[in-house]
Amino acid sequence: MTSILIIVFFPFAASLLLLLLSPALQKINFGTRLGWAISVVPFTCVALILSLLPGVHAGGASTFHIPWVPRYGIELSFLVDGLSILFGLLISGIGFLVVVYSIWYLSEKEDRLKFYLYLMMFMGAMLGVVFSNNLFGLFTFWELTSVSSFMLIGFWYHKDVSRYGATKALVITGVGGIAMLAGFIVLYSITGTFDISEILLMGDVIRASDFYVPALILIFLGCATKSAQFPFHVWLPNAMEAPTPVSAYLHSATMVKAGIFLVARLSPAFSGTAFWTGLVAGVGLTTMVVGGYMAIRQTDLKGLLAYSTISQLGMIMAMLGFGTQYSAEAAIVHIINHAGFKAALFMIVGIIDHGCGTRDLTYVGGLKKEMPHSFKIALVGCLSMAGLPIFGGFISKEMFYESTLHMPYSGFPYLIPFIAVSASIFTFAYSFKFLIWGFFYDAPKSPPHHPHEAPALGLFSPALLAIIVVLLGIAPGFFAHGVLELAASAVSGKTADLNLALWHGVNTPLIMSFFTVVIGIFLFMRLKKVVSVQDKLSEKVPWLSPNFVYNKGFLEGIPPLTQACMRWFQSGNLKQYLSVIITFVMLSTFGLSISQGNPLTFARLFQTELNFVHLLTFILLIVASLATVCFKNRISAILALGMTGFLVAFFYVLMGAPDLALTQFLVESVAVILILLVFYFLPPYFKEAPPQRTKISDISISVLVGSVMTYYMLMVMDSHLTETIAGYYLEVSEKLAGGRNVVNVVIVDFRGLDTMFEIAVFSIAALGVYGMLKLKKKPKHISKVLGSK
Amino acid sequence: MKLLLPLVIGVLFASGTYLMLQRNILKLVLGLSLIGHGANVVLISSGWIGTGQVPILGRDESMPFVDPIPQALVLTAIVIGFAALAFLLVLSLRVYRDLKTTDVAEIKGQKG
Amino acid sequence: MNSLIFKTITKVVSPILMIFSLYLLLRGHQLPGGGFIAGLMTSAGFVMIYLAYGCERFDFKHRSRVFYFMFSGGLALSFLTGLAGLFVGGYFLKSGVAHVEMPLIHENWEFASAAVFDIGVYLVVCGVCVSLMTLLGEEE
Repeated sequence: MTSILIIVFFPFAASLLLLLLSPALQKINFGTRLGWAISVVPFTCVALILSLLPGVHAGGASTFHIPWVPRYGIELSFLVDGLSILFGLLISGIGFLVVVYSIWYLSEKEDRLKFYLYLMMFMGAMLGVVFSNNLFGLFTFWELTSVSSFMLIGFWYHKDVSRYGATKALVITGVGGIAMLAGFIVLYSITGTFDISEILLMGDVIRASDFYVPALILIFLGCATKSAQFPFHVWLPNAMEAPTPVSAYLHSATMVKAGIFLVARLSPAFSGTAFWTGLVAGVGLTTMVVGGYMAIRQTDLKGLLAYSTISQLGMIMAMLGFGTQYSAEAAIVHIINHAGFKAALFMIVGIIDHGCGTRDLTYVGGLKKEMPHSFKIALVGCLSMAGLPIFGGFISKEMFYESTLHMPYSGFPYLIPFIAVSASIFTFAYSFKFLIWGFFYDAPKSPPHHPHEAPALGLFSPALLAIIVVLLGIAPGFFAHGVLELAASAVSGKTADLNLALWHGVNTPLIMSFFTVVIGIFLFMRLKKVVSVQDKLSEKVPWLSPNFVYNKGFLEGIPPLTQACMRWFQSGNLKQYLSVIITFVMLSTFGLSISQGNPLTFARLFQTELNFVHLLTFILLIVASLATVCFKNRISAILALGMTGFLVAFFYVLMGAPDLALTQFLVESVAVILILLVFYFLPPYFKEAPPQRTKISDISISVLVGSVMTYYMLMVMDSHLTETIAGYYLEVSEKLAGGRNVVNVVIVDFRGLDTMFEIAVFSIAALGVYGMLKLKKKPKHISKVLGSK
Repeated sequence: MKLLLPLVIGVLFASGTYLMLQRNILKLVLGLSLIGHGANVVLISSGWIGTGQVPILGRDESMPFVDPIPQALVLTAIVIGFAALAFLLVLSLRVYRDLKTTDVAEIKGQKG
Repeated sequence: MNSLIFKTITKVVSPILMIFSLYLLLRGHQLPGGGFIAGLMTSAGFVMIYLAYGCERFDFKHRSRVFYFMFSGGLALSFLTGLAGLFVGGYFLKSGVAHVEMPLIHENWEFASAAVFDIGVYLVVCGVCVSLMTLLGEEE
């Protein structure tokens, strides 16, 4: 089972190695060799994952544990089953193709080192997500994918749009991640374990729990933000500012599928209720329609693919939401179909971008002649995306239609198939827009460069993907029996038996497909008109877009809000800070002790007799401390403070603490002289004339503090003394430390380390004083630091 | 007596708090010092058992000893308090030198 | 402070204070006293001298380094005591007691390693207090 460790940590190790070697590597001209060296990593992972496959075929799922925080059940543990194998193969396989593609794509000028560093970090994190068997391990890897995605979207960080897109992605997926963490904790409170394979067996307990709905909503928030589900999809189009290999890898084939993965992974535990279907399928279908609606509007080819990805993710999510075994199988089939054709199409867009200097359909068109090979690949990809026969997309679309016909918990039996068909019409239209506008029609304007075809190296990866897409259509059984059945049974919890074929005879899904194609062609013919209507609509009601909410509400709304909070809480007014802190601490602890502590009995308070010396000391102490407050003359106030100190020293004598009395006495003498020395340099008290209101609030806060402290002291003295550790010290002081003065022995011997640190602090105070008095800086600088004038 | 001691502690804390809430930095220093006294007295009082013997061994073993641990604690607290006091004093001196004010509200620049 | 009475008192009292503080330091393990108290008392003696004579009798201004060395040396001494405990006794600040028969006076004296630690404390407290005072006194 160590191969699973290698699979997950090899990419991380490669990333770390790049980081450590970067100073050395920057000096040599590594050219394209770096990319070839890195491509070994995903290739190894593919091989290792394939080597795990026979074991899963034979014995089902297996797990592997490394304890981390055993007390809370947090550990690094991995689960190898059909689902994780499928995703692992997707991640490492497409990862390999993307690395090869990027060798061609990234020019000399780009920082290839950094690119591969982030890419490998992402790959490791993603493999960690899909193989994790512990919710905390999963969460850690999940957040790592967000971070590395942030880095990759902002790869060209000198561009404003890149930074905007990167921040947006991080904010949205990050907030979702936090919600998901909360959901995991709620889930833990239901099941008492973070172990995913155990949680999957507790489906009945989870569904019956009162916390089922909150746990599901919170976890689903994480999945929906990651998988760009409506209304959180807005980050994905902006993430297209990343280099094209990144878009192909992260934002179509892998990272955005992490949310899908988690929904699929947890569906044995959560699915099977009306709420699950309503939430997951509802969100999925909405996303599918919105994504399709937006995709047909785009003129930027990458934007078109981004919205198409959103729409397709919504479709997979909807299938998982239906919760039947058949729909789970359909979802799994579509995951691999979509990864294949979408990654290929993204790579083609990268080639077009390279060849023409732009990827906007206003400039790009009629590329069939100049780019014959790219055209063939795009043809395969688009037809599969549109769901036309002999390609994999057709099979999964038929399965989707079939599953909409048999879904449970549907109040309106015709509504869901109707939504499915109309969303697929959009899909058909934008697929043809990509293909026909890009390769047949001439563009209104001419591109910056004359288009030219990419070399074989650039075409290798998309071509290989196109071949797989074709194979998925004509020989689906090979994939189905290899891994898809295993994955589907991991999702549905039952043994799956996939019989995939292109031709099932004339049935309802086929009729639905027929309508899709006919209306789709009609929509494509009228596309320009439809788009102009859409543009008018979005001009009239801009607030309808979730982007509006993000830009106006979040980007422009949050900073003033935080500034207002800052001004309110961090006013810089010491008095306000103190008042708030003191009042809060006093009231909260007082409330707590009233509600939880024992009531005062006064039983022990009257035990001691009246003692005249004590009484006199106490009264004098009260008088002296009040005098410190009341004296208007500062010299008198200092002397009153000194008086208080001496009285406290006398109090220590009464309490049987001669060491303390001596210390207090000496400290007070030196301190009074020190205070007088300093006050000599300072101006006399200035006339303070605070408004009456301030004075009253000062007095009431002080009285509050005084009375709460009095109450505490009464409670302390009223309660029974518990055994202290003093007995031990008194017993062994002479024997072990050879001292009879226990206080001193405690200071220099038993608690010697404390004392050592204390004298260190004492010395630091002296150093601070030295610095403040000896180091003279320009007052201007100091006032800037303190924020004055 | 046990009834009066809590009152003493309350007064020490209350007057210290009042001084700390004033705008004069010197009063702040004095107030902090008073609160320090209050805290020390609290600690020592919690070890008070009425009639107790000074915790020095080797004499009359019949009477119970006063708890030595709060004493050791407070002894270090007194000395640290002294260091903090000295530091604060010099800090206020430096503030006055550089900003020409001893008003806490002015240091922040509220009054222009 | 130009008072003849205070100067005269200082002349008598400050040596007594300092010698008594040494006594307090050494007996601290057995009776009230110890490094903190002794250090404060010694510095009280210095404070008196400073207040009465300024820099007349003891050149605080140019000898302030003495006190800086005093507290840094004291800190080092305490730390070294701890290290000695680590090497001899096995863990940091491990203390030990030794009873030694003194040669001429034939008395059994007790030596505790904690006493050395206490001397370090004494040096730090005294050094810091006097440094604070001289630093403030140098101000114009």
